[in-house]
Amino acid sequence: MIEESILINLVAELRRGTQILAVLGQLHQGQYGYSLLQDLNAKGVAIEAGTLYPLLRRLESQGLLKSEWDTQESRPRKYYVLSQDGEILFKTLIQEWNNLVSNMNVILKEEK
Amino acid sequence: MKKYTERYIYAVTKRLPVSMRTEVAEELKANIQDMIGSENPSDEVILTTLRKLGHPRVLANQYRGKERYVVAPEYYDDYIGTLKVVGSIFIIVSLVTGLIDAFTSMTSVALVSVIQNVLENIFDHLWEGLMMAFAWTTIGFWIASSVNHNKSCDDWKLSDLPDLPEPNQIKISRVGVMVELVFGISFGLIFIIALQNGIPFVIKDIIQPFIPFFYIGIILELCVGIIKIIYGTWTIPVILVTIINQVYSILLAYFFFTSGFLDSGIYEAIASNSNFTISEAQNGISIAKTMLIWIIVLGGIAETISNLNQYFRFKIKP
Repeated sequence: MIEESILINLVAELRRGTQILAVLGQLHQGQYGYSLLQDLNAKGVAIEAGTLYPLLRRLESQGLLKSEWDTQESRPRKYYVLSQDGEILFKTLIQEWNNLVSNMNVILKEEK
Repeated sequence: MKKYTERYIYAVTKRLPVSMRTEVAEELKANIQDMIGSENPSDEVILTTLRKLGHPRVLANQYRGKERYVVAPEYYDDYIGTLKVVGSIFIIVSLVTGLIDAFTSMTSVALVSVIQNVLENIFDHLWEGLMMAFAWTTIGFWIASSVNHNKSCDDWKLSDLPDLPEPNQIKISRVGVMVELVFGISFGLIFIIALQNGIPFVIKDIIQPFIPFFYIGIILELCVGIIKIIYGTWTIPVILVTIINQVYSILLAYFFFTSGFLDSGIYEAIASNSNFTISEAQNGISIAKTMLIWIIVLGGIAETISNLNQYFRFKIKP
């Protein structure tokens, strides 16, 4: 019997690889941290707040996102959106993802 | 003082570089407020929200992005291995210096005070030695980790690979070496100190020139022990230094016992305290001395031959 913790770790590792793709995919339009979190969770992407917020900053420092503070509302919020580089990279990543999925499908079909 | 949100944000940002702190704090505050929703939340709601964000240390790590180590994971095994070797060497050196200190600072010959003095000195030196071994090894690996941190691990040569261990290599027990050294060196030191303080019927002037050579013998013994620990198996360098040490000991023992260090008064003392005549005592001691020399020399030669045998066994192998 496989320990449950092993399964949980493996699933988390599989998901981790897809998180950046999911985040970038949601940022064609500007979003602030919490709205993005809700958006992703609503679409079934399991990502923690403690992972998402630092990730946004990291992607910004890598030049894939740009950000702007909105101080018009009662509560100031930092909005993130894909930069030009981010848009290009996202397209490349989608191609990589499609390759990965088709390769994995071949492998998993062989397993059946 | 409650201010859970502010305290949480502070717990995160204090772990970040100064340049990041203000902006992370502002952003985190906005995000936490969004997650909480209401303007006057209960403590329970705040705590649930903060728990969702995770431990401040973990969140700070996520914000910082890159992992930081004293010893990088790829160095960890080498670090532990080096720590064992360096630790063993420091244990030996501190035991020896502890013993030397104990014997040279001895003020009383009462057994209890001697034991107390020896234990105190050994413990002091041992603790200091272990701390030094730990500190130096860690500092060394810390520097190596930070210097090579950005270097790619792909940058290695085939010649960097270690040699395969010889299949018939015999392992040297570290504990064995340590026990051997501690006993050998403490007896050696007791012997030297006794000689220096004067033993009845031993002529001080004759033995005096030998004292530096006995000290050299102890240092040699210590070096051989350290080399044994570094190599860990009976390899050629280990066998060679062992042989050199044995040859030195044999020669020293031979010259010492043939130096005529015994005062002739000993024969009279034996004759007056036993049924032997002076000439019988002279003969007896002379025979005993010759036998002792032969035992030491033959024993040493036998050991040296067995070591030489091991040396050639390795050398002949391709």
